[in-house]
This record gives sequence, structure tokens and C-alpha cells, in this order.
Amino acid sequence: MSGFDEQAVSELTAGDEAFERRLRAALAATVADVELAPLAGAAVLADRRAQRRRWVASGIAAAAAVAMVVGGVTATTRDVGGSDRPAPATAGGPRETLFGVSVGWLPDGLARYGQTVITAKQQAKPWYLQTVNFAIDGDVDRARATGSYYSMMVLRPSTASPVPDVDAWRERETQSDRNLEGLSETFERVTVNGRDALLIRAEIGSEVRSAGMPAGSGQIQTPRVAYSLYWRVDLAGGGSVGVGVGGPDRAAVQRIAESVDADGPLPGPADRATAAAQIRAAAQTAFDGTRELDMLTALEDPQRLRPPLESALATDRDSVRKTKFLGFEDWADRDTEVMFLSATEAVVGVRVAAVAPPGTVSSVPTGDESTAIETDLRFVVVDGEWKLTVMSWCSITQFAVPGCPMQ
Amino acid sequence: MPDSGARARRDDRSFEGFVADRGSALLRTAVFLTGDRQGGEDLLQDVLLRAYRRWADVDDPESYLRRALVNASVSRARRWPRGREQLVAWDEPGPDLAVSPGGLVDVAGRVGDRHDLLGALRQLPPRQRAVIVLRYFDDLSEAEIATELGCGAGTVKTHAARGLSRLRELMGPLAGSPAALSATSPTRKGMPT
Repeated sequence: MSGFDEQAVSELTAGDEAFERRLRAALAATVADVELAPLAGAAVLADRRAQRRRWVASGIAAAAAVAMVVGGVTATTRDVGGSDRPAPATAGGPRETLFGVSVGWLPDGLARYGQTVITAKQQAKPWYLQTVNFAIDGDVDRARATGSYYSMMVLRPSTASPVPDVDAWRERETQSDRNLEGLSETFERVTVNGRDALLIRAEIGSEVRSAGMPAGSGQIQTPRVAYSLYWRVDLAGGGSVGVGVGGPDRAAVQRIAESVDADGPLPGPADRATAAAQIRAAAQTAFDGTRELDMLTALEDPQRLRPPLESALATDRDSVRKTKFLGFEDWADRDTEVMFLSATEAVVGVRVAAVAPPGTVSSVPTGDESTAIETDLRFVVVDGEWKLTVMSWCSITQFAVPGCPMQ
Repeated sequence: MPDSGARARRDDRSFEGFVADRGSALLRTAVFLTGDRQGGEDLLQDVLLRAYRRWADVDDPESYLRRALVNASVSRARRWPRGREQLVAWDEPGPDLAVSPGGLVDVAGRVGDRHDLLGALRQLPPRQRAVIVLRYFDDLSEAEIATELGCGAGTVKTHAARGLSRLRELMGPLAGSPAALSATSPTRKGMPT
């Protein structure tokens, strides 16, 4: 590579100031020949147009919602297609609860799939976004392939902070879509159980492109329609919740929305403080490699994990013992560092260290604090006690404990 | 690149112009934040897509995008184990890995030399790495970094000190004896003795 300054790097162990100076030089030289493609900006615009079609097609722009509310924080986006297939608006179906917001009616035959939970941080305070999709007639494959599904979103701050109201929601939607070719959206102020709501009707086109044409540059044909409803619920105890419902049939979307009860409390056990303390203790035990087999006492299925852990201790004890708990994610508000998904399920962000081979993402060959992994751990209640799930534990210890079951 | 005076017009043309003007600088930051060229390109692409959605409201595009790059890189690093642990019965495909398990992508066979520095950076925790990159590559002050990261200046100092210490530890053998050099980086040529 032409731009690399070997001498600068080679002298990095001189005094602090010299080290800093040479580090600057080495950094600059290392990427001196890195250039962005000349038309990158245009490519982003084309991709954005194509992506927007997919988001709208889902009936509810959950990924966009995260970007809007907690700007600057990464959210998962999902590839979803669009369809105008109507769903039967008949009574029945499962009852769902997302972050304390329950839905009392869904069209018959829906099958839940693709649930996501996203934690984002804004000014050191966590926001929770939970989304769930429902496949029509239980056909998940078709839902994925065609976008023919319903969806629900709940946006909830951890503290008594407001979420976007209907006007803010509309303003953002209007701004973001004004330049998009082939997408037509209309906005209508409606109500959901007496609360202001925004109904978005989006006509989504299928893009027809010739071979080699970039996304967003083809002809838009065969417009289809998707609906989404968004409204804000100001809670009696302070704060608010943003709720969204989407799908291909307007009447069904409206009926789902009207069955929503958003006034429930945040999900979690009755004694949240005690549960959080148990979870914190279990996290520390589960990743204290020096405790060896005692780590199993903090895990969901110790019988299943004992054989691989015993084997690892017999063959490479040092690697197991390098597993280390380093701390909890540094939320400003300690009371909210444990995110309860229900009375029996919770997630907490932690920093841990564990052995992993070089070259792995976030590799931790030495298992010390300077190479920490930041991750979320999932806990469930087993026989009345909070335990770390097998998957959570094995996802971290998989290299130190070969054979740790990943499913 | 703070605006001065009247607010700049924010439309598609200004977006393309900004990317043409500052895109390479942002890509270089992204390369360091992710630890490799491909990861940096992916990261910047994601961030630009999100930035475009908010483009009309962004007052200071460069600062905004740099902050978004840092946040996204930290978040990506956190997703690694989660690719295996789907939090609540996810049945969608797992999140993409930020970097391929094979490590650095060799672009035109030129990566060997930059591997050492990028590899050392990748050994740092994401926030520590971000502080080092913003301080010593983007040349921001500690106060500016604190603002960008939404933390205190003391936290920045701590990350910087630990990051520098770790980098010296990781890269120290490069300045050692020829034997140490060859053991650390056998493909390196023309190293001073």
C-alpha cells in the first residue's frame, strides 16, 4: 500500500508525545488512499428510494421510527415487500402484549413472526422499541416473500419522556418522502378511541428495472396500497407511548388499533428491584470463569451445559477461567438498566470478556478488560429464579467451551 | 463543518454535494471505527442512508455524520453475540456481522501493511477505539469528543489513556528487535533496525 508510513508505526513506542505524534501520522498514512466512489451520494439517494418502498410496504415504518425518535442510534432494518392483499376482519385471534401495550383483536388466522426488540439510547436514557409482524393465514413464507402481513409497533421511553405526537409524526413522514419517485402517500387525521391519530395510505409501486440498472432507477408499475396508523397515548402516570399498527386492509388496521390498551404499566415482575438484583447477580456469576462449574448455577439449563463445560475445563482450563464479567452497560439511570420484556423475561446490557480466536469480530484473545465485548444478555425465570439463557451464555463462551449448544 | 450565517439549503443536490466533498474523510473515519475497508464502507452507507432521511433538519452535517458513525459502530460491535442469541424468539435471519470472521479484507493485496494498525485498533473496545480515532485521526479536542459521544471529558480522557496504553502494548514489538519484528509481522519489509 503506497500510503502506509512504516517508520511512523515502527516508532510508536517512544515517549507519550512522540507516540501520539507518530500515531497521528500512521493513522493518516494508513487511509491516505481510501477514497469514496465519486457517485456515492447519488447511489445513496437511489438506495433510499428503493428502501423506502420496502419500509412503507410493511404498513408501518418501524425502522424509520427508530431513526426518527432516537436519531444517531443504529436500529435494525428489515427487508419487507409490499402487497395489497386484504385480510379478513373477523373477531378472534391471539392477544398480544408489547411493552405493556396489549392488542385485544387481530384478524383470524394470523401467525406471529419476526418479533424484534430494539434498545436505543438518547442522551444516556434508553428507549425501547418492540415490533411484531403477523403473517396472514399463517403463511410466514408468503408474508416474507410478498410483504402481505400486519405489524404492530410500540415505542416507549424508559422514563417519563414524551414520544412524537401525531403532528411530529406527519411532519417527519412528509419531509422524508417528498422526493421519492413512484411513492404516493396521503395523510388523514383520524381518531383511535377518541385519541388523535394519523392514518397514512401509501401506494407502493413495484419497480421494474432492466439488467444492470441500479435500484431506484427503474419504472414504477402496479401500484398497491398499505395503511398504517400512528397515535400517541399520554399515560396517567406520566410519560407516553407511541403505538403503530400497519397492514393491507384499512378496516382491519383501524379495528386492531381500537382494540389496543396502552394504559398498562411497563412489563415486569411485581418486585422489580428484587428481580433486577437477582439478574445482576446471575450475570456476574455466569461470567466468572474462576468459579468454573459454579457458573452453571446461574444458567437456564445447567444439566445441558455441564458436559461441554466439564470437557472444556479438562482440556483448556485457562481459557474458561479467562471468562470475566466486566460490568453493566452504563445507563445514566441504574433503575432502567434491566429491561423487562415480561414478568418472566428480561434483557440487560453488559460488558464481558471471553476467549475468542484472532480475527473474530470483537475478538478477545486475552480475555482482559481492554478487549471487552458489549452485548445484551437475556434472562428468564426458571423455577422462580432468574437465569441466563443457554444461548446468551454460549454466544459469549462458545470458543472457550467448545460444543456449547447454540440452539 | 459548522454552518456559519444563514442555514444552508438541504435538498438532494446539497446532499450529493456534501457526500462528494466530505465522503472520503468520513469513509476513512469509518474504516478505523470498523477496522477494515469493507466494514467502513458498509457502515458509512448505512449512516448516509439514515442521514438522508433527516437531511433537511441537520444543522452540522459533518458533526452529525461523525457522531452517527461512532454510534453505529458501537452498536454493530454489540450485535456480534446477539447474532446467535435472538432476544425474544426472533425467527428472522440474524443481524449481519460487522466484519467477516476471517478478519480484514485484502483489497488488491495491499492490506498486509495496514493490518497491524487496523488490527490493533480492532482490539480496542468500540468506545475506546472511537475516542482514539476522533482524537488522533479526526483531530478533535477532548471537549469536542465529549460532545460528540455524549459523555464527560473525564470519560474521554480515560478512554484515550487506556486506548493509547493498549495500542502501545499491541504495537510495541514493532519497534523492537529484528527478531521481534519478524515474529510479529513476518511479511513486513524494510523495517528499521
